[in-house]
Amino acid sequence: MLWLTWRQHRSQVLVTAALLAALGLFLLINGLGNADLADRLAGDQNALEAALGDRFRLVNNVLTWLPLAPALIGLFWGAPTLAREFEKGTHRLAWTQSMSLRRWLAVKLGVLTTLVVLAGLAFGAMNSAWLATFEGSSRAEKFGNVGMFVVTGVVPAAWWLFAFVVGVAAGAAFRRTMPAIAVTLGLVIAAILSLFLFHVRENYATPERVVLADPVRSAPPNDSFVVRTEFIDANGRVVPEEVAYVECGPNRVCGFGGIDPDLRQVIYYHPADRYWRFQWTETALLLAATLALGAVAVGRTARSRI
Amino acid sequence: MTVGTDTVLTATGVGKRYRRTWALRDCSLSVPAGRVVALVGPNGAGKTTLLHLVVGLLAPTQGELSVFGLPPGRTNTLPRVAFMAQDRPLYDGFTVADMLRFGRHMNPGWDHDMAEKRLATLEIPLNRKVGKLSGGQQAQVALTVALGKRPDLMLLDEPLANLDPLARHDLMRALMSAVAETGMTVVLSSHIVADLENTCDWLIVLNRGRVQVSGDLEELAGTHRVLTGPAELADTLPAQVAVVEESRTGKQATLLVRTAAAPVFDPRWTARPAGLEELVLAYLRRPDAAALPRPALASA
Repeated sequence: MLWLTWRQHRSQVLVTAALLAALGLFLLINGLGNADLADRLAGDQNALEAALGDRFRLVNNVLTWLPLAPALIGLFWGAPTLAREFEKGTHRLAWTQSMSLRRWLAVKLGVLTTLVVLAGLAFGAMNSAWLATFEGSSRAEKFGNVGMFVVTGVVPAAWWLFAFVVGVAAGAAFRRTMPAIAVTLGLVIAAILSLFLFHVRENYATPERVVLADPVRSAPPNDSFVVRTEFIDANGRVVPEEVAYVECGPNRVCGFGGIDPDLRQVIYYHPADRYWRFQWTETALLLAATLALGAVAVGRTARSRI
Repeated sequence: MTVGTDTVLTATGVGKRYRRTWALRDCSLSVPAGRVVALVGPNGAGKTTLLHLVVGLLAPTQGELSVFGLPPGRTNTLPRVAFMAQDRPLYDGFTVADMLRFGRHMNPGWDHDMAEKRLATLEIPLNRKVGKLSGGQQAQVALTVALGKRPDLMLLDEPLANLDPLARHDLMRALMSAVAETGMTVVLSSHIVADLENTCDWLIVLNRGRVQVSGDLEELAGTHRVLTGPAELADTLPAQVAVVEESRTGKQATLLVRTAAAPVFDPRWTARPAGLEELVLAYLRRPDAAALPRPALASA
């Protein structure tokens, strides 16, 4: 059964491994260069910041797209796993050998799940290690920059696993590869986007509140996840944004950026040390969804097998 | 493996419903060991459903099935039952050697030597992709994978469909020589009766989800006669003669009848034994007629 799983899925395994190796090499070369740069430009913060910025952008052009990697996992790993067996009728071959359907499902899904999780963890670890080479510069943000939050740590593994199981469940439901692929793509991308659009992540904890001494020039602590900002007057009342911005004129003292200098800015944010708490919260949410979908997929497959 | 009175397969009141339609209803039958069973019926009669129930791919909605006295589809029955599903599914991207490895990895009782020898005799190259083989060769590979399991019961769903006459003949010959070697029980379904003549010794006719005929072919041949004679005689047949089908052309009537063991007919009838195809077609045209196993079957 291990051999069969390998034989049927070796192309996905090999392509994924090759892509991860290529990304790893790219990150390694860039990261080593960063360390070298930090040694050479030590002391000259501005020059270092500028040089690191260029190197960051080079990699970031690639990494910007990688939050969508789960969609590929769902597409190539998840959707065909059951759908192709049903579509080609080979489930009637595979499930009538000497082994029970339960064991077939357990080994196949167990092996693929393990591989997907390991690949996701490797992906997250490589990105984390690469980002750490920017330590000390403003580019090292892994929490404030949500694009980095989802490609570092353990969250990528959770997303890859979730997308894989979405694909498996879609295959069990539709029993044909094309519809399963289409539904998987739709669902995974919808899930990724809805976390952004519905501001789900900021509710993983109650944000901290800080009143800035100056409306604009003082920023929240480094690498914090800013939820929202608002303006208050001297009495602590919230001032609508359109009122906060005043017209600058000859007889009016105008604040920086056109903000009424009498107002204070309030920032609601999650400090950088909540990174792991947020990583595990998102992982737990995705695992719960994964378990539910996995139960549906296995149930559908086992209940009515043909 | 003994050929005798052992029952390989028993169904008692088995029914299978898909949503609102019954694919199989009140199906009761038993198949003795060592038989080659022809499972015939028109498309949609429930043949595939019955085979899927026997191999455990489906669970019955009602009734009970047992294979070797055990519930089907469990790990203690699966190794003894081989199934060649409709369209003879194989993994297209696998080489022939991969398909044999598949069989070896999935079945503890796998006979690798036999499987390799069979394919060598058939001159099917082991390194060829399954998808690149001819239909007849694919059928032979599918049969080899099923035989390699060394089953006591072999189920084949429309094994000859979409094959050219030569490939049909070759596949049947391969199957029958395996039967001769191992004495295994075979159930093969077909909607073309001619495929099964001369190879089968037990007949099951399924029609609209019900079992119409189930019995020893020789016995059925002995109890079914085709009578041709004057039409007026058709109304005065003895009580123990059941008319399965009748057709009248003018003053002439042709009847297919089921009778007791040694019938004596009015001498004006011309009687001859019914052929397999005739018999099957007669029952299929009359879904309410049935020739089901009598309690005396066990002594047959």
